[in-house]
Amino acid sequence: MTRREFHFALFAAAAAFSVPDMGQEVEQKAEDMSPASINAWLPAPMPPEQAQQVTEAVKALQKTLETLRAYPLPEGSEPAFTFQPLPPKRG
Amino acid sequence: MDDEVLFLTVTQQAKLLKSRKISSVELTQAYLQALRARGEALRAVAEVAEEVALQQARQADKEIASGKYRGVLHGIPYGAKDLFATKGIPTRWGSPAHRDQMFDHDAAVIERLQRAGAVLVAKLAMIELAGAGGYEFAHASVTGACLNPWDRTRWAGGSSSGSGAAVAAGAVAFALGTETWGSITVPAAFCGVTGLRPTYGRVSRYGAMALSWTMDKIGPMARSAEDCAHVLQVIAGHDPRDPSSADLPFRYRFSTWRSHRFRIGLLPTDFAKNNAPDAERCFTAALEIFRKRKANLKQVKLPDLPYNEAAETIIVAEGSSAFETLIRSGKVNQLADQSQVVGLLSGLTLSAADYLRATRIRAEAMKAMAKVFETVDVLMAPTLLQGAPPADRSLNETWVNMGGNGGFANLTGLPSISVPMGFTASGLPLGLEIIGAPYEEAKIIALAQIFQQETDWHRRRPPV
Repeated sequence: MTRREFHFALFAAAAAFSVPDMGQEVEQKAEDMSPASINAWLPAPMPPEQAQQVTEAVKALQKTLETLRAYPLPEGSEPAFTFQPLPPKRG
Repeated sequence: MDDEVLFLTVTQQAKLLKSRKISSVELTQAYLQALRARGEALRAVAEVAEEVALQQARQADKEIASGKYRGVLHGIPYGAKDLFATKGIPTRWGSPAHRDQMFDHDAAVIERLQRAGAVLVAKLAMIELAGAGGYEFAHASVTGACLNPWDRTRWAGGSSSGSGAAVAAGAVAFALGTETWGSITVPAAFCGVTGLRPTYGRVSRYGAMALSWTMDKIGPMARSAEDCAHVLQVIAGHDPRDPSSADLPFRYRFSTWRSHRFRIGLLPTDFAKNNAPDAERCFTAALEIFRKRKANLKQVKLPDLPYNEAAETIIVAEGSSAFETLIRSGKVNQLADQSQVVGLLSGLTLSAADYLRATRIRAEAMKAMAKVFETVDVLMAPTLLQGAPPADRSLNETWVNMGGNGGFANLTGLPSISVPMGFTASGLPLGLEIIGAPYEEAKIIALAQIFQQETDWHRRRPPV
């Protein structure tokens, strides 16, 4: 699947989300995490139309996260990224 | 200079340069002319680098004449996606918000190509910020929609749009692209060129725009698999300025693999459901070539993991963080495509717990893919199931039944090559994708080269 197709499927799924309880929960999360928290990052609040689009996008993102959270992971399994400690440069 | 020379492979041009049948200055001037004549008409060009190019070409000619031949890329003109820092040449990341951006240093890949004697002729057009936030229109770029040389009403693909179009149109000998999820393989397939996405960490990302630190890869787009190998040999290798770059040498010798009996795993592809008769015809014919070469073909099913969800979560989280300065400044609203803005803003809501969960799923996915590659050498499928969509309509409407294999492969850092495998009934190129195990680029390149020895799809020229 391409990223575009994945996005499209997500938005469609988010729009068609009809399970009442879970739907409300997702809706609530989307509201909590959308314009208010994002505006804190911005020099000026988002205009209403953009805020609405962002709310929709956050809702679609929640759908992704539901799938992600449902996958069983071994307790304490390692993430796949690394770093290397940086030694000081001494003369 | 005969236009024919511009469509030769790097390998062929190198022979002419080494034997001094042509000079690098002549070749460079011819490509500069092609960039202005047809590259710009396709909106494939971000910036022509005439002064730098002619200076580098003169230097190459001087060195070759004095017997100091640096290798196959010496004197060869190339283009770089406009997200690589280039000293003295604007680097706009395809973004209207970065129109005036200029760096005082070269990206690692630009340095390495310069050391190999290659000649930088142009910065090439791209989707703004490599499509970090997700985009709806082909014109999501400061240079507008990049058109497909095979049909100028169609899109060249993205985000390495200009790299694909310029190679296909004979406006550069090869190009550099980048991929986070599909940005090399998609334009390679749409434009009918060969695109190589190396293993994550194979090539230093120093000086390249960061979209996703853990998923960005840099690779060549060229007229043959062999050309891609030449370029990768130069740009691969550890660089202390990019701690994720691997300290593993890459050397390619076709003779090592020519007679290898490859075990090819075929990814499930539902041609009927996706209404893809052209892709099915071309893919079936392609497989026949590998069967004749005694390859062992078998169907494989990937372990069931949320690959796409993990990849998307990582890209969204890292992308929104990478472009935080742009977001905070409010200049994010200058981007050409509103979907990009919305995507970047929505990414700010992702929690650290979800991001970390995605990276832990990636670790599980890497183990699962390692198991898959215990039984096969490579995975194979059509790169995409349809030809390039129209350039002037919403991609949300036209991007239908495309298929694609990018999610799991990009998430787990696997190398991949897309080679031309034929055309749709309406004359648009289709690509064959070969995905390899980590650091096994040589195998996928060799299979692609075998395919290109038996076919001439990669030698077809668009009506430029």
